[in-house]
Amino acid sequence: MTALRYARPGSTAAIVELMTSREHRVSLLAGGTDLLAQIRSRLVRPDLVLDIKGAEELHQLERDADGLSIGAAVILNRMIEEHEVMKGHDALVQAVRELASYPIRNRATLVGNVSNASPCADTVPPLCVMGAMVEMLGQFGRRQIPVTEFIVGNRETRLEHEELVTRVTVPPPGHGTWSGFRKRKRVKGHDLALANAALLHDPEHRRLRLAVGSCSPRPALAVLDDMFDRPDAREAIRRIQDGIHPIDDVRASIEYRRDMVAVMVRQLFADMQSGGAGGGSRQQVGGRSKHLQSSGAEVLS
Amino acid sequence: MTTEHRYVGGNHPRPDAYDKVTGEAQYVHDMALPGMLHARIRTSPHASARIVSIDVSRAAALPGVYVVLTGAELDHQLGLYMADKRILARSVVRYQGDPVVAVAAQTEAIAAHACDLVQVEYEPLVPVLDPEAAISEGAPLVHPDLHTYSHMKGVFFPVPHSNIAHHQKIRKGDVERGFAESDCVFDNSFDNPPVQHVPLETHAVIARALTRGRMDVITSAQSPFTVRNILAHTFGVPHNNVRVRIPCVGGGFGGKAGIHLEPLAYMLSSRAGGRPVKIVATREEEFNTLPSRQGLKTRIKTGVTREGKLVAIKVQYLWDAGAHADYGVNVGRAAATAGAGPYSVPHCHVDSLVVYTNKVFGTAFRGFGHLEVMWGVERNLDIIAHQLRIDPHEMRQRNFLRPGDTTITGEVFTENHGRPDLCLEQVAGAIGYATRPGRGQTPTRVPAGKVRGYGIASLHKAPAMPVFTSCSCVIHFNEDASVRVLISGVDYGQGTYTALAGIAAQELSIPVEKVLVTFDQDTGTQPYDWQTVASRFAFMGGNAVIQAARDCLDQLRQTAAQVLHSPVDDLVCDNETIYVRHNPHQRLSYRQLALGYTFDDGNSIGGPIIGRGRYIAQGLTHLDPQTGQGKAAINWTYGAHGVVLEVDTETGDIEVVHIASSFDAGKVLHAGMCRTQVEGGVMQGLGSSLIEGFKFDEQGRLLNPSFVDYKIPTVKDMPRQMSQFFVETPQLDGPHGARGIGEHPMIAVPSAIGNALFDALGIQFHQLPLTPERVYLTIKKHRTDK
Amino acid sequence: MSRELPIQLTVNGTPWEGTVPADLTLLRFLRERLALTGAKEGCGIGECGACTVIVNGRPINTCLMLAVEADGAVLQTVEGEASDGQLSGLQQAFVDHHAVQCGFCTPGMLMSVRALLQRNPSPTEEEIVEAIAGNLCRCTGYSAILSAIRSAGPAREAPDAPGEAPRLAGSVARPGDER
Repeated sequence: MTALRYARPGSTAAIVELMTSREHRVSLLAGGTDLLAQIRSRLVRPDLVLDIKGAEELHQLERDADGLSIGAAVILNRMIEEHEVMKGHDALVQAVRELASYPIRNRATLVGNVSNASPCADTVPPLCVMGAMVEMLGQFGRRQIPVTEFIVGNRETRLEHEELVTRVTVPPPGHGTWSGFRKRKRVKGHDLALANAALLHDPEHRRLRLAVGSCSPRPALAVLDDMFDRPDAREAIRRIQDGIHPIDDVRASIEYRRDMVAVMVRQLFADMQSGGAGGGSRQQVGGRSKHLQSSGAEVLS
Repeated sequence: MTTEHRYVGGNHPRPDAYDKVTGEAQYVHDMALPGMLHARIRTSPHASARIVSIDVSRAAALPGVYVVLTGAELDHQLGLYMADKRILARSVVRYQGDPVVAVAAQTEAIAAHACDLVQVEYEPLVPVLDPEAAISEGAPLVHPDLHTYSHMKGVFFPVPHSNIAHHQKIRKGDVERGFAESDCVFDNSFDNPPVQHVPLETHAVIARALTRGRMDVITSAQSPFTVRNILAHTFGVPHNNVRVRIPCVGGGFGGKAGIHLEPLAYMLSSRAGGRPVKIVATREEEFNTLPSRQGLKTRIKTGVTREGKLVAIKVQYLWDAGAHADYGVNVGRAAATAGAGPYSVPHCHVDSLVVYTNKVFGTAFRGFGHLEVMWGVERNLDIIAHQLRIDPHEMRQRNFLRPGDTTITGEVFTENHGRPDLCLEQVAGAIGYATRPGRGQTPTRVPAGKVRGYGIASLHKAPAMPVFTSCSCVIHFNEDASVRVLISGVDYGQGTYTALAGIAAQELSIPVEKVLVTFDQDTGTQPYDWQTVASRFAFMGGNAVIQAARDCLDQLRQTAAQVLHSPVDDLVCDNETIYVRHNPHQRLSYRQLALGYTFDDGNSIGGPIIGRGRYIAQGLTHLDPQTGQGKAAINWTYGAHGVVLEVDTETGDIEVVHIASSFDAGKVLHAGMCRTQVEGGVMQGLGSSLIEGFKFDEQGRLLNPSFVDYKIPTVKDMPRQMSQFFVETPQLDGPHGARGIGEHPMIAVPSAIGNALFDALGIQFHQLPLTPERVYLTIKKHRTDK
Repeated sequence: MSRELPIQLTVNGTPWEGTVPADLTLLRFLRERLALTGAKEGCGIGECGACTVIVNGRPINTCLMLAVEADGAVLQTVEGEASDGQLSGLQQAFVDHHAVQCGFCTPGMLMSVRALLQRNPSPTEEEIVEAIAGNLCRCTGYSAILSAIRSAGPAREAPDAPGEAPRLAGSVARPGDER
């Protein structure tokens, strides 16, 4: 049995240095909601747990002319609480709300969700339709690649061994952008996605983007800009179905996943048509259907 | 008599709530003894295999390891009603999850690491995973030596050289003649998967082996005396050698009713030179190793008149017992006795087979087979009602047992049995069943969008227990005239102690705050009780408490009579005092008598007041092995649910808008406890209805052994409205007329939901759970078929 | 054995200082080192909420947090709810509304609610449900818990006083009551 070690460097540079100088197995710790469960089940056996939360820059959640920047240590609840910063990124906020229960969201991070690269990650479809970038830092400096290229397979990313993801950035949405998120679960309480989807409509750049998750090792993104003037849900469904390869597993069957993808896409298109925000959102809460004021589309739960 | 101290039917606070809201309540989970070791187990990856070899050398050599145990060293065979379990698997493993090796070490981490170091070689065998396959010709035998197993004779009938652990037969009338005389005959079948109890506290035990064959076992369990009894038998020691203690228990629901990890913990301690050994099941072990609720396949053939009167029912219940049936055999027996529902059925033939398969084994679970049976019975009735074009409420009212009718086990129904008809009326009224939209006209096509449906279902259950089941109670007075009530039923959340405290206080005429029903159980100091299952504790315990309280009053009166120079019969006990009825100023306080009375000159008479009470099940008989006739039940609790739901045909999501539940409790002993039992049971029933079920792969491995993929209802899964009703038809031999309701709230919830789904969609569902995927795909199939 | 690291933290107003192994979860630290056994381990993977404790004002599943991460933190556990032997209003509400059965989920549930009331003294129904959706209860069916929380918040719904006629959601019929 090896003695587990823990370190909490004070800067990203120090983190990278520790990662590159060691020959041992290093696991990065942000929220710990994936890592600690993996250590418990002995899926992962690190020698060193490297806590990234000592680096101040990684806690930044901000927005400026260049867009939105979500640091690797930013907990999900901050993304829900800081309305001004997150304004205009409704699909992402909805996905974060649906991702996990309240206490988990006080620890889990968006960057953790993306880096874990589980196919059912809820933040991934919204990030895909928003054109998000993943920034990584290694001993040779920083680099950025689109989230769609960052995730290469089931729990596989482009991240090198001695790199950490420092933040995810989202380019500024065009004026009047609408986005929505949907998720299919087995229960009304928290669950992993059987399938999830995000749609984005950006009138300034004439973009219509659809992404579906939990139906393939990698997220499926359909660029629908060509139908921007005449959005066609049926055609969008046909295109996205071509891009997904759902499996039968303990959670759902291929047939149910595919059919629910179609349902979610139709619902997202309908939400988009009705403009989302004005209609409010009907969310099943405690079994009592209440009309909530929230931005964006209905979140299926 | 004053009107103070009237607690029965009241709403006083739960006495155990205080410790639980402060975190002071101690569960086995929280306890530690000096020198204690921690144990972990290693389980089988195969559903069926021969153990070829086990090499423990590397594990035993690990620093900090005290004991490594395998089944080869443990030839004990044990179980509650059938001795078909081993402490650790010995020569064969019978399910994926079967414990094979156990290690006790200084820390859990060392024990877990040691388990990893053990090398086990298996020769996989072909598993049998389905009860139908298990009873067919040439099926592999899960227990080839079944014929050698000791079991409760005259009650259970294992079939040698088969996978049938028990075959319960009920034969009433002549079922073939009944079918011949029927206007219509229907065949239906239904399916229930195994589910898990999911107590929030997993199984946990600390055992300490003492010298001279003695042991001290602290366990999260429901039945201290059952654990004691089985430990004494298994290890061949006198009962006085075995002490079983039970602190607070974090939920049981039947899963902790029998004996589970205790023998293993004891053996580990014994091999560790008597150091205490603690085993706490992980949540995954709780799902995969510790027992579940049996699955059930039902085949039911029903003959009815054109007016919907039941003439004949022939039903086969095929219980998927898993690898062991030590408790499961009784589920098969008990559920069969209720197996035609709360109805008058002239001709009835039940074959209830408890069948071994190579999967995690079933045990008692709230409802004891009745949820699974009611799924079949109540769905069947609705299906028939629809086909006959009779309103389902009317159909049930036409068939309910009424005074003078005979049940399928030959019991005569009386006025005091209860009122299934009233319960059903209440819930039907509460949901507006009679005026439901589209009543009598089921949709010819599956509607689009969100659709409402209304459904009702009835239920019944009697406590399933041996003919000799008993309970006892001792009440001690303290110096300050408060009392301690010692009773060994366990309150693991159901609130019985709260009701019993009220009964004791009312009987003794003292404030309920002065009654302490001692929470911790200890077979070393407390009086015998059978088990805390079967919804019999309030009934039997209540009777025992009343008798003990009256015994106290008799003793108080005996002493007071001498002091007051009064005939005993002239003395009234009221409000903590005793006085002469016609001369009330001649009085004594309980306090003056509690430990004996001392005259002014110092002479002392009487002594400590110790009241004794006991209750044994009255008038039960063994059931005839061929016909199942006999007196199976001390009482029956009837009930019903009415459900309004909304199903989204686009996704299969079901939302329960309103569920109304009614039970003939005989007497609501405590308003809050009864209401919250119903609320909790209904939610657990919702879990079985819409969400829960084990999934296995083709090799018999459990695919959902954690909360990631085995979900239970959260607060978001609540119905919009839950309402509770009670009927009070006095149970003549019950405490204040009460009978049990602990299990009943869950057992017909799936039935009512299934019936409501038909009303909404025109589709009959035969399988649980009614997940969104199942509902959606069934709708889709129906739409494309048309 | 894991390397021991020094930490300081405050639990229910009391400072603590010492060393902890790197691999010790905050949950086990509280239960085993500080004997604060209110928080429970129900699953170990952050799904059941029985381990919920308030850390720097936020409710956290402590089974998924390392003790060493709590260096410098301020913790509130269920043991700090009552003061001077008196139950808090929230605890009393749970007692009064029969919101406790087996009690295993109760400490975690109370901490989720305490954290909610600290950040929002007047929560809506949706906010209450969202706050406790991560706390599983197998016994109560949640209804009594919601009643208790509502009464501890601004709604001030009075529970049935002991001795008063119980206010059942439905009614009690006796044979002979019918028509």
